[in-house]
Amino acid sequence: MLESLLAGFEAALRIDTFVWMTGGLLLGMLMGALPGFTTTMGMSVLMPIAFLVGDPLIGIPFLIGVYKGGIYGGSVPAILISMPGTAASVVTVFDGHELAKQGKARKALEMALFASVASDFCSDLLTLVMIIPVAAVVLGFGPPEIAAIMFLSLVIVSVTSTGPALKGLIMLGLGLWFGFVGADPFSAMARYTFGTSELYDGFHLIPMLIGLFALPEIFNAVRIGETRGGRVASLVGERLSGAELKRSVRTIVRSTGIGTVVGLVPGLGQTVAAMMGYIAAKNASKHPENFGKGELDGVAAAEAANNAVNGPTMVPLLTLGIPGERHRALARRVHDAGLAAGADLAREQRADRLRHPLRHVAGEYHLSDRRLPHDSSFYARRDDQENAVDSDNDHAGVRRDLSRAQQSVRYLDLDQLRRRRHRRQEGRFRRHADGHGLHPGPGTRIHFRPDHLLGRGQPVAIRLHRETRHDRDRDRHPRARHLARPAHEPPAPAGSRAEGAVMGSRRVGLFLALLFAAAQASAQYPARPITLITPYAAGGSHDLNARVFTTFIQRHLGQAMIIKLVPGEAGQKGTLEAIRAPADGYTLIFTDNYRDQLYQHTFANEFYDTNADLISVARINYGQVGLVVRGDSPYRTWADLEADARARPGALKFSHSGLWAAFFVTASQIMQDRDLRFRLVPYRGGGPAKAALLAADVDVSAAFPATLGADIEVGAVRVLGTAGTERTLAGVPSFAELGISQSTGFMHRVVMAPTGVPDDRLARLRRAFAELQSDPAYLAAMAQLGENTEYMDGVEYEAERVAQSREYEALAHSLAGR
Amino acid sequence: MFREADSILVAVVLLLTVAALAFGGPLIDEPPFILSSDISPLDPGLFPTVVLVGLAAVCGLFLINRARELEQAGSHPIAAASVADVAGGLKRQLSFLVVIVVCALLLEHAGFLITMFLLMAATSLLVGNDSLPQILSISVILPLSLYVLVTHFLRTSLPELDAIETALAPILNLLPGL
Repeated sequence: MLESLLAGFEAALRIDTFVWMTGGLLLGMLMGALPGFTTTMGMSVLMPIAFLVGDPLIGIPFLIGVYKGGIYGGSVPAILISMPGTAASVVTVFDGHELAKQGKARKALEMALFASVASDFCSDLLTLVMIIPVAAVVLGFGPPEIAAIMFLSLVIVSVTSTGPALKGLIMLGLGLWFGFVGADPFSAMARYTFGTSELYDGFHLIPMLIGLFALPEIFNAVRIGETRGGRVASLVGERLSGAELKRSVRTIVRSTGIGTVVGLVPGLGQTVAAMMGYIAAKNASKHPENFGKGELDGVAAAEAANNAVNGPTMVPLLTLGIPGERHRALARRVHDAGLAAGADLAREQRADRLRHPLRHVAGEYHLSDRRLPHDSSFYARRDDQENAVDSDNDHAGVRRDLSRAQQSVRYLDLDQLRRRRHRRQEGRFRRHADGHGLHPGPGTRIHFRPDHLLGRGQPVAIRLHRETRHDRDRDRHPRARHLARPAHEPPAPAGSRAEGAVMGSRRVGLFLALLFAAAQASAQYPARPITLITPYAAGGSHDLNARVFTTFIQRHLGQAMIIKLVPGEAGQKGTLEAIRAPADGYTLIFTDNYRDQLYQHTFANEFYDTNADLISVARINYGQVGLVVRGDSPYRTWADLEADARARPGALKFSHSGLWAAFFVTASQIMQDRDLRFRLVPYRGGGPAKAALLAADVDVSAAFPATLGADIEVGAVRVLGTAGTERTLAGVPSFAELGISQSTGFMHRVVMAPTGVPDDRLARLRRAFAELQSDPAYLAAMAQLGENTEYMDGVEYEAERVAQSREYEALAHSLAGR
Repeated sequence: MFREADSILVAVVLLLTVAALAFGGPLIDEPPFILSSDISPLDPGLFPTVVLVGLAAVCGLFLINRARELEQAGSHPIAAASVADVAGGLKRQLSFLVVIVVCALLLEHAGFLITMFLLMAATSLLVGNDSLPQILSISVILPLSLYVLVTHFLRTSLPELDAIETALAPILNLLPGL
């Protein structure tokens, strides 16, 4: 183990790695310091750089630097201007900004830095030591346990905070109530929005924090009205003394412990840790009355706790394959990609000696004689009475826990992963080279069955409902009238705004005249950056795909394509924004088939009609869904599962990623095709749905096989079938072989434009995306991301939309009729 | 005074909670069609109802406790706020409020750079900065730097006028990207 750690340090201290890591830290601190730029967003934005570097031993440390810098960076504006850069820094405001107001900003910043570095380092070491025993415990954590811990932590925080407990509980309830504003995460139905589309996404935490902490400071400054430049220097103040640091060591140690424990549980995160660390420090202090008034221990407690979360969040990621937080999901994608990209390179550089220390620990363990065979009992706990396995024997239970830990550690076996990734990588490039795909895609073969679809539907009832709401809301929302724009309105003259601007600005001066003349010279479309609306949160698969192709499309368009994340209301908010944008080719949307064609049949969408308002530019690729069960499941094949589901209708639980999301639709289509009934259990995304499967809370789930990675390798999950007509995993039948519709389980990632874009501009965009498919750098980056590049031209995809719409309409009616 | 303010705030919360429970139906959208419980087991109104009932109960308890405390302690005079203290800065605070609201409304129409120039210049003036070069440099350089950083290097969109985007595009294209 020691040798492995030393080898890890050797890798980390390489000059190029060190320089890139430092660059990542600085960029991360910058992003963390910018309120609104979350750490996840920073990692997502900078991920293409990690790919482009080409060396995983540089790319991964670079992103880790971004992450760690981002967490610390959030404390800088929190201390200086009472504006938390990230949600994790909210507790730092309490005392950090008070210290700044007393002229001790430097002390606070240095304490934050020291506490962050010390706790992060110590928690990483603790993680290394504890990963084996803790993995056994963490593996048993499913969504109910996480929810219980979350609830407990909220109650502790509210009860132990300042003032009477009842007041804390009222604030807790009020906070939860605010959290309900917006779309319900499971059904996407609006709650407390009063018909306002702007509220569909709810209240974002960072703007709320800015409003709560920063704006009162500005209001105070405005009220006093005596700010002078000279005050800035006096606010910096003295450095942190050794005695002060020594006094806070105990607090830092305590908070590190708290943060480490919190980090081990997926889903809790840094804010909870910081709050708990702060309260613990306050309760342990001899002068709790000083907290909130500029107590250095308060800064140390909060920063140590939130940074101590960083290392342990790797435990659920590396054992369950479930990221504790979204940025960990990004880390995993890059990590896997790095392993793939660096397969050859790693051999040359003896990468087996340059692994992440965690892998070294795991590798040591894995190589020991305690390794268990592949078919050993994994995830033996089963809650369902029907499927319960014998767990009476305590000894057997302990042995199973140990075996889980041992098996989970095998996730970390770099050699296996590397070989597997390398094989996949080779396969991809061979396919590209041959000009053939293993699975040419569902696009050319999708068929639908009108006789079946029309049999169960109630289209009249739903149409009437939609039209009524549509009309009513159009009257109520004047902006919605914009949607009444004819499908083919005459396009604005190209460059007309630019020309007007040039004419006006020539009067200002020579510089601006030259500037605008240059703009006029490049008035040929595209003359300025194109905005790509992504109606999903940062760090998701759409965001990652978009980050990659927007990096390379500039070569083929001549202008940058800039991502605008507009998440909310199951993607409808971003869709609405794209549709409302001028149809001039400067605003596009990166969406998928469900948002495009399904939601019109499942939500009372009163604002737009995607068929009339959007036109396809290109399908970038697609995600194929697989049907998965646990490795120790009694269902060895789809036939076993189907037989049991048929014998006990509605008894088997199927976890999915939310109502009308990709996995729900897949499950529904399977039920429809095979005339089965599962009990569909919604979770907030694919990660929790998978956690529920692994924790034996459900019997079956769906997932993108590309994201299952080592889970399949070590036998934690078994894939019973994958979408399409051809096999994509060795020994796993395709849905077509199982008698499931061949269009089931495909999420098409599509770039679209508002209808009415001039033909020449649409053609220009389509040509650029077509050219992108022969860009080797783009293909390599997508392969590293683990995504396919099954491109489809916009014209071809337009034909698909009609078929999709009919199929989804029938599906919705079929489910409604149950 | 603070204790009275607490009671008023809690009473308002209780009132809102009861109203939300009473009129919960129209405030929470119904799905276009009803799915059976094995397909959609969670009603979108379930969690809010649970939380609101709890919140109402806790608010009620708080008010009952406060009423008992008042009975025991007897009434006490509320300190009058110093009007003079407040009046001095109130005008500037209201001005700032107007500025941020106007800028928020302007952002989509006037774009990031113009709006930020106005916001930063007005805020600088309101907090007492009387150095014109300082105000101009802060109001121009800071938003412009942020714009270049976010749109060019971080490839994230900010609302901006087409004319300004078109004018800046040739310059930004000359800059190295990340």
